[in-house]
Amino acid sequence: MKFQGTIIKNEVREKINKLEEEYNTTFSTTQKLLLCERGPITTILDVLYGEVSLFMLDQHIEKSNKKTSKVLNINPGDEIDYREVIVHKSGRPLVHTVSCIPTSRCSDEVLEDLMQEQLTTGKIIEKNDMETYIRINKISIEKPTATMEELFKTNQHMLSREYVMTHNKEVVIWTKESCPFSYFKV
Amino acid sequence: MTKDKNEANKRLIEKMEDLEMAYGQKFSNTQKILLTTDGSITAILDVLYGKISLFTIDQHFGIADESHAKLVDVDAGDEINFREVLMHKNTKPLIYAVSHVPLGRCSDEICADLLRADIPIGRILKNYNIESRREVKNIFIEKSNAKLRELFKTDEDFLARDYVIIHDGEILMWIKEMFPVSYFTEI
Repeated sequence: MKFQGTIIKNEVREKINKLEEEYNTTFSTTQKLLLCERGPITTILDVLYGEVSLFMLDQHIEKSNKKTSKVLNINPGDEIDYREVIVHKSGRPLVHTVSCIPTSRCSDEVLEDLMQEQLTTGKIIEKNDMETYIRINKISIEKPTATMEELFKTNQHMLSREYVMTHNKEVVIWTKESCPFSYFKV
Repeated sequence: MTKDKNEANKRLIEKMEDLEMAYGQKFSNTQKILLTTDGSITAILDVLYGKISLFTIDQHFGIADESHAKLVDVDAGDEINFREVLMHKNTKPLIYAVSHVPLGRCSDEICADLLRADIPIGRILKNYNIESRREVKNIFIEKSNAKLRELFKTDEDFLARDYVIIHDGEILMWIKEMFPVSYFTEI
């Protein structure tokens, strides 16, 4: 049988290729998989490292600023849940994640789950049978923040991606995941 | 019922480990990622191989029998879109997939896209910003059959998974994806 068919378009890979060209580098297959994944990346990390854990660095309710209100499509000053976690394997940091969640768009059950430190946002979405649509907005290489330098014990640049999830046609979470550029090279 | 619920809640990686134990073989990281991902496998194949293509082997509308109806939670006799596709890279077959979509749950625009050959289901969902969730039902080994032997030119066993895509609380599609056990072991 002779196969023909249509080439499948993949905008995320196109973003990755652009970044590779810009920085004159080549990402590893694992890095690309992590950048392209539309489900929780903890599933991939579980496969690669065995069961990974979550450590909550910070969680608090705050008023949204200009930047967060723009990505979440809410009014500046609206209440958001700010969550900063590190996914690690036996204490070795793997991925740093910041999430912002507009509390007015969360059910009571989700708000309760958010307070549980061991639940990733992916798990919370799964646990509450939430139907979502994921849009990967940005893939970038950035300078590390002071927190990242301290966590990863390196000052190398970070490979990051930002995405939003919608539920009931509204953005319910904005997430930024980052890891040192040299991670997941194999 | 309780058993089903427990199985559904079992972490996917544990399902993989159970299968490795039962089959007596370790699977590669790539195989595990392909079988456990919540996202679209076309994106993963694209990363691994560069641009891949979708070839529609068969597509037709038909009436659901009892077994089809159970997979998508409709009544026997309801109309279903049956689709069989092959993802390939320059004619090298990579993954065979079969899907059942109950027509009663599709908008006109999704039905129209389903009819147009060679649009991946993930792309159809993306085109219309469809909010959904995936539930991986089973990860398993399936014996080859005449069609798979013809497509992949092998009679080895196949690694397979089936899952449903749920939208508005109802099953929008049931999908089974398969590839030979020797595939994706090197990457």
